[in-house]
Amino acid sequence: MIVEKIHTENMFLYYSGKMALNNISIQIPEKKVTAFIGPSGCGKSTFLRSLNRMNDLIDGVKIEGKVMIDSVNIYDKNIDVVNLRKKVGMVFQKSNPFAKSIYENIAYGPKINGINNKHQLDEIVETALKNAAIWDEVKDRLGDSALGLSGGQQQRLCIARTLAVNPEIVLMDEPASALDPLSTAKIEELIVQLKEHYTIVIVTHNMQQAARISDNTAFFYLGELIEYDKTRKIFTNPEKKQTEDYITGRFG
Amino acid sequence: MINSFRKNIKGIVIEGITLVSAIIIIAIVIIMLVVIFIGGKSQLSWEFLTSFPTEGMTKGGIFPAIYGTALLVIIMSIAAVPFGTITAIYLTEYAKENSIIAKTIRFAVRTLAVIPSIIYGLFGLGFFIKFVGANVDSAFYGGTLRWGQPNLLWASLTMALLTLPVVIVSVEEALKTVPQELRAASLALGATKWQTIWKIVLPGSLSGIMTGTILAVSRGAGEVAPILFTGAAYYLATLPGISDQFMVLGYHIYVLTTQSANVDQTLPIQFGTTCVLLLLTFTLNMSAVVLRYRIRKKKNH
Amino acid sequence: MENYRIFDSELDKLAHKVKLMCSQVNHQVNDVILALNTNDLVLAKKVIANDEYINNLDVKIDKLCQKIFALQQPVASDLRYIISALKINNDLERIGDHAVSIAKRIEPLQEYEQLIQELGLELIGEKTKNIFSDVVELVNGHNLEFAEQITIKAQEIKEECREIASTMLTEMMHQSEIVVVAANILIIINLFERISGYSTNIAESISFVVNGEIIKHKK
Repeated sequence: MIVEKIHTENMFLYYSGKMALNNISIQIPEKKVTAFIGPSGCGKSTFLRSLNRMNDLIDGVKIEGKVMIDSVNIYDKNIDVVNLRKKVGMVFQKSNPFAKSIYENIAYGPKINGINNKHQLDEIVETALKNAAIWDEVKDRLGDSALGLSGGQQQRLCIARTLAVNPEIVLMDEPASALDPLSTAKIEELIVQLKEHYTIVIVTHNMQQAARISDNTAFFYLGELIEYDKTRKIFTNPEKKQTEDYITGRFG
Repeated sequence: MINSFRKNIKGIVIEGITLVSAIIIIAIVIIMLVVIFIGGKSQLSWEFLTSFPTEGMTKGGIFPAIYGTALLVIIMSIAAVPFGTITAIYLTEYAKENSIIAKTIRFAVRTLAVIPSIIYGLFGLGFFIKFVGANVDSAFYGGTLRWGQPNLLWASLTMALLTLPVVIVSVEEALKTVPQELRAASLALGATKWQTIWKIVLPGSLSGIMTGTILAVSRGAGEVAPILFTGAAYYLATLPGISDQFMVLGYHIYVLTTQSANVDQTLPIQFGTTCVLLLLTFTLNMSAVVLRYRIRKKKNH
Repeated sequence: MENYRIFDSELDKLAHKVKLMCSQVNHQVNDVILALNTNDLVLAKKVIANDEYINNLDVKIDKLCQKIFALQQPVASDLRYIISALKINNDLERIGDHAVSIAKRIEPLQEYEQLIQELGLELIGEKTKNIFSDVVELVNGHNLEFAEQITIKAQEIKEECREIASTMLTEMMHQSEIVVVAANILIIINLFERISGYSTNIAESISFVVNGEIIKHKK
């Protein structure tokens, strides 16, 4: 059965008065991979960042409409943003490990949540690294600096770091765009495995990536949600001409 | 033809002038360093650094001045570094880039940086000694003169004010080298803003904060004007406490050259003291440069 | 360094469906030949009814290939396999249709058992069963020895079919009363020939999967 996890209704977003997202209504199912595609500046990343309120960090952002997660509007006044972000984790385009050891990178999230028991932390670190499919590569050097890992490993470490906080939703903002094909394949495989436990929303410039790994695909253009459907439908027989033009590379 | 010849001449002349100016500057630096070093070389000894002045300061060492300088910069740093760091944190982490309050603070910092140091001295005298000190005395000591006079504490605080802009600017620069992505990563993990600053931003900018501290110390160690009215002493037979006046390297040179009974006899000690002060500030500045270079390198990674 | 690939399970699914299709068509071919040899009209009806299942499977395989093409950008051996799967699927579906066509022509032959035996139609049927069991082996195991066998046997069947056809034509000239039944027999023979022809196509497709070379039209 498909359970709805995220749901927006007539959502608008403005940057200093300029409209960046125009009337977005979408239902994102639980424990599926949902991909956002579209040309640069189409609003897909902006929309992703509004799902864990990372846009709050930018001056002059105003949001109208409903953004519901588990049927709760996350822009309500009584919502604790810190708790929201624990539930809705995020992996960024550029891998951004802290200048700490591999272990401390993973333990950072649990520690700020008040977990200080060494045994418990060890367990969380191991589980997170295993779930991010990087445990075997780093288990013998947990004390080494995370900055010594390769780009692909760093990105999986960042995914592990996100998982360590035990989120329900993982937002990914072009997580493989800076990686070589082999590392990309590993990340993609990981994403497909992760959907067993997590709801995953991924922004990607790479249409083939969206095709390979996602269950549903949303096509954004100029701040609007043009088409949203099963990935298979979008890539074999899209409804809208703009979608067809974009995925066949006839754009512009 | 003639025209281009003239242009050529003009070019050569301009190049010549700029080259000569550059050489003059290098020459001045070399002459200064050589003269000071040759003059002070014979004085530099363990004994000179560790003993008290004797025979009307014509003989003996400069230990009290070194001791006073050290205490001055330590107390100054304790006051200036946390305060400056907190201000820098406010400016980079909390204040909106173009808000009126941020602009006002930046304007104030710039203004502080260009105020002549003698005015800091006068401010220290007026504010710390005549206002704060005097009021403390009348409130707690029944009017007995205790804090209402020049001493190490007031001099250090005055010096802290002087070095505050240096600390603020270098810490701000260091905080800005911490990539925005790391802040975002921390916040996305459910950290609060303060947790992010405390656990990610500050550790990441530690070397920058140290650079700021060293630069401030180096500036403070060499300045004389702010402590003239607020605590520097001509000569003391004992080592000072926090409420005492104190000897300090820069002021000691001034005293030896202008106030001494027999200036000619103090000449070797003048050179020696100058040499020590120069070496001290030079070393401090060099370490700040090295630290800053390392931060830049890290940032470009 | 063996990487798990996201679409391996899709490929497995496709291979499974193609094999299923192959075995289903094999049943149809065997059943229709048995029905022809024994004049079993019930079995012939069963063959006709079964065709719907095969047609459904055909559509499913087409859709699955389309999905893999659209979503997984297959390359190299994967690409060859999926292209071949589409073609093999098409060939199998046609063989299935031919089995149905033969089944529909069993009833009009009711009283001509002796003629059929004289013509050696039973032998053609046996050879066709034989060639198709090679096809099943080939599709299941990609063993190219079977591909060679299929090509040789198909050639034999073709020649024998031609022979029977010319015999039939001669007979028709002498006995005008057998024209109707003879026409049916000619059609059946032609269908057997086509089944062996499609079997050759399948052999070529599997060769393409294994070697990456297109061998058809090369002799």
